[in-house]
Amino acid sequence: MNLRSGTFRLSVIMAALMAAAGSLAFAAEDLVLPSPSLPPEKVIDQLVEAGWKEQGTMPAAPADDFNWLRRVSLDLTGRIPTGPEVAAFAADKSPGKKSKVIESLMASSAFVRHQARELDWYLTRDKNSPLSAYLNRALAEKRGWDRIFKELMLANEADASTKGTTVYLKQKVRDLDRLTNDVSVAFFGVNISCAQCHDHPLVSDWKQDHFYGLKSFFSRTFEVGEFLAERDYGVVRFLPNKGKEKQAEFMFLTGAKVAPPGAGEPTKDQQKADAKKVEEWKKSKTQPPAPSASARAKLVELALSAKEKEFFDKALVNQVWYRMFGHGLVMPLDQMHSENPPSHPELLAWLARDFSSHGYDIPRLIKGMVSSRVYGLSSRHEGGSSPPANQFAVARLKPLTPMQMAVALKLAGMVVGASEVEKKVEEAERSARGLADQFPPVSEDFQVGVAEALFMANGSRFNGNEVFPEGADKLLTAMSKAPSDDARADMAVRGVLARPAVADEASFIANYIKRHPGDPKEACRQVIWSLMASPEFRFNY
Amino acid sequence: MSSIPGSCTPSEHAASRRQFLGAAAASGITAMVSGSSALAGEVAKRGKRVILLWLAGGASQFETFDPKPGAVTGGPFRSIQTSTSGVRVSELMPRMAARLKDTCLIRSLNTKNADHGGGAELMMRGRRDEASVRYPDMGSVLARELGDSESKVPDYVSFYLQSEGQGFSGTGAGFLGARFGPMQLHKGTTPENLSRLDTISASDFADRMALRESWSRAFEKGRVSAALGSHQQAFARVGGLMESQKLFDLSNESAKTREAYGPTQFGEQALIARRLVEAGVPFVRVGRAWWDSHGQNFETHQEMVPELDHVMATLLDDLGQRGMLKDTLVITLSEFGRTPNINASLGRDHFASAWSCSLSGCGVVGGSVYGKTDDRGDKVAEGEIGAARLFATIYKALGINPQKNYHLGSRPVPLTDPGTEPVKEVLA
Repeated sequence: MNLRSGTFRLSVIMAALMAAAGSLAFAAEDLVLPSPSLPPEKVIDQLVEAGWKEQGTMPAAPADDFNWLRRVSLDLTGRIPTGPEVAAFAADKSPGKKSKVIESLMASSAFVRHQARELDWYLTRDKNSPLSAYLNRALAEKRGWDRIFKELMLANEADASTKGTTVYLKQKVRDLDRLTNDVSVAFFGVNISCAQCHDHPLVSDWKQDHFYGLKSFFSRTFEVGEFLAERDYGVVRFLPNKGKEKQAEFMFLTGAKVAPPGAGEPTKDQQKADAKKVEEWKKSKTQPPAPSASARAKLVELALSAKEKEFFDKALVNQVWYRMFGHGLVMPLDQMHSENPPSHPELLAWLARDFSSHGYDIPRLIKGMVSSRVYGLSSRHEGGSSPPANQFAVARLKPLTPMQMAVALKLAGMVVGASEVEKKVEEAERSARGLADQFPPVSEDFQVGVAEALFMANGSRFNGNEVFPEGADKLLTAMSKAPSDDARADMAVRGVLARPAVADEASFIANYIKRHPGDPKEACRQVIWSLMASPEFRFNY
Repeated sequence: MSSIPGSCTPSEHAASRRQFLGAAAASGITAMVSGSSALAGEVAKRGKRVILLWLAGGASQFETFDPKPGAVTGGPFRSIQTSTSGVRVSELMPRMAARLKDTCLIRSLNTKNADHGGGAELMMRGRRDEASVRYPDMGSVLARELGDSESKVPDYVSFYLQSEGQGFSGTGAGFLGARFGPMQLHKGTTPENLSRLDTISASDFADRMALRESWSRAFEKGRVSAALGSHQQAFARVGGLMESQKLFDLSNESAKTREAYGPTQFGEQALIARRLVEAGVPFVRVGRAWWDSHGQNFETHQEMVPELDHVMATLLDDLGQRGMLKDTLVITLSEFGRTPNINASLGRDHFASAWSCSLSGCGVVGGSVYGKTDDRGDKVAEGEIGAARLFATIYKALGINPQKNYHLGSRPVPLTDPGTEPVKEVLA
């Protein structure tokens, strides 16, 4: 029997639902958590700092203002700060200036676009951002993560507010095993593919019953032409590692089960009639009607229910933490289970509770993280060996995503006026797509390849107008017209690296320009190139 | 690596009573690749190289390595005796027939996938991709296993200049990432971005590189990160790689050698391949398209097999004369073979159930044949192997343990499917 295709058999209606006795991910109830009324950034600092004390760790110094501004701009809006922003931040001496910047970046349209792009990649791994329209709308309207989960699972194209959601399931529906595991990873933080072939060897939480249990919720979903449809019957049968073929129950990762939704398995005649209907829908290109009871809706209900929602609450918290800090509270990100505890269990539990009790508000989650002192540490650790990543005592280098890299290259070539930041950022984003395709996507084990270095050194695309445009509002032109080499040096470093030049750099650059007297503009271009090809530019550090 | 929480042992997946096609590693979110290293194999594989002659579109086994003259399926060509007693090949391959001493013919491939795209991916990766695991191809694996992180030459070069079938090239670094991917030559025999643009002088180029280097050094102080190291390494390799452009330029080669390989595109690329492996490139694929002879199979093969015969024999002679053959494995492989049945257009169609490939040089028993098809070439009669065992054999011949694990998140992924054994008879 081919189990992969998800065969549908007449089901034996389950008489009784067994109580879920399986162990939960981490026993949150045993942890003593700080008060829920504290601001998230305070809790982050308090609990991470407690870890340093316990381990005797010496954290890195705080990052300087320029470093912090570049980091937070890249993390919140996906782009480097512009000249006026850098100058204004340096000039502001008020104690609340970081909060002001965070508020202002989060209020900009680039915040929604960047977060939507990141979530899109997280969910689809497709650089064409197929969920873009939907996610931009959802984030602009501040929909919670629970609602986004529900809308992606229900995939109602007919409703204007959820238009564009179907592509998520459609992308994976031809392979239900993949769909099952992808949903499990993205929304519950657990990769259960091991349990597909055998009971998980180390994780008592997962048996094959769990994999096929979760798959049951998707087994009724199928494609009809361009549409997605769901039957109101169908169960999964599988051949366990040991013993005879089994029918999977509709079971969540926690072991919680529900009765098979719907009115039970159909007769042969009904099935024939249904097959006919499917053919008709295909021919007439109409959206098949919703089932009387949706198994996917049941999954959403179960996964978000008070007793079972711990997986859901924690997965995105860990993912966003990973994105902001460059290392998850649980690593690998898809192994959030009882045998792989978080580095900071109280912190993860507190943040998950806060996330859930504030309507799964993604901006709040992000804001708490970037407002912490821990987030603001330097990525440089002087003296002694660097503390382990899971102590968050030194900031990690995060490679720029293809879009971040391309937008940064575009913005670096421009001179932006104080009143036109938003406009110029949009312009840079719009023109960055083609360039973004030249850079590889980032992953946990990301390494820069020679193709990238060769492209930057010798690619005509990289060396021409696309990256070094000229004109009144362009860096290259402004730089070549500057009154002195020192001024040129400062302009280049500010434009490309979003900070003033330090003494050595300024003299290096001034000397470089002096040594190339033939064509001052060409010398300026080479200086800009050298900064763009530096690791300081390549990473969010 | 079993210390990673939640890891499972690969053998359990092999033991599973169902075909394992599971989605793993979350569409690659946790593509943490870590190999077990520092074993005996690390020494054995040193200096080993591979040239893959990729016969795109599917060459016919009948008109090459497994002729069946006289059978209804045999076609018009005769077979000829080779330098190995009792072994015959198609008369279209006289030069290889005379120098079979370094070559092992494998006549018993049953790879089950007779579709160009799927077949090419299977024969370049040794397995099918899983729903969310993109496996690296042979070249990327060997770039990682045999390459040197500071090498001045590329790790993996792939030629595929004909337009037919380019979409089915089967190459890709999969979960190993762009770092180990091929330098693709699709348009000409000169790689992209390897030469300095006219708009910058050589001295300015070097100057701006030095300036970049100074920013890099300043930034690295007090910062430790593998990604940061790779950035520095990638730029450090630029100069050497640009130098390696001369390897692609055959005007540096003697007229005699060029004549020996012949003036064909395939011959020239094979010669470039030899120059590349000689300079330390671990893996070069030379694609020759398009063998897809659904019509006029015999004319197609009459034209293409002698070229293959000539180029392959010349390459082996050249490697032999240079003392490189003991460390260089030359593989001749397609995505599949061709049907025994001759269709109405006198063509042969796609066929993956009983076909041939060859391994020459490094680590294999020369002058030998492994496996056998039945009299008509319909089925494998002896020694049937699939893509997985072929790959395990190739890795083993190069001194690499085929069961060495990479890690995708916490899941160990061996180089070839769990439990796959190399073919001992093929290995020297």
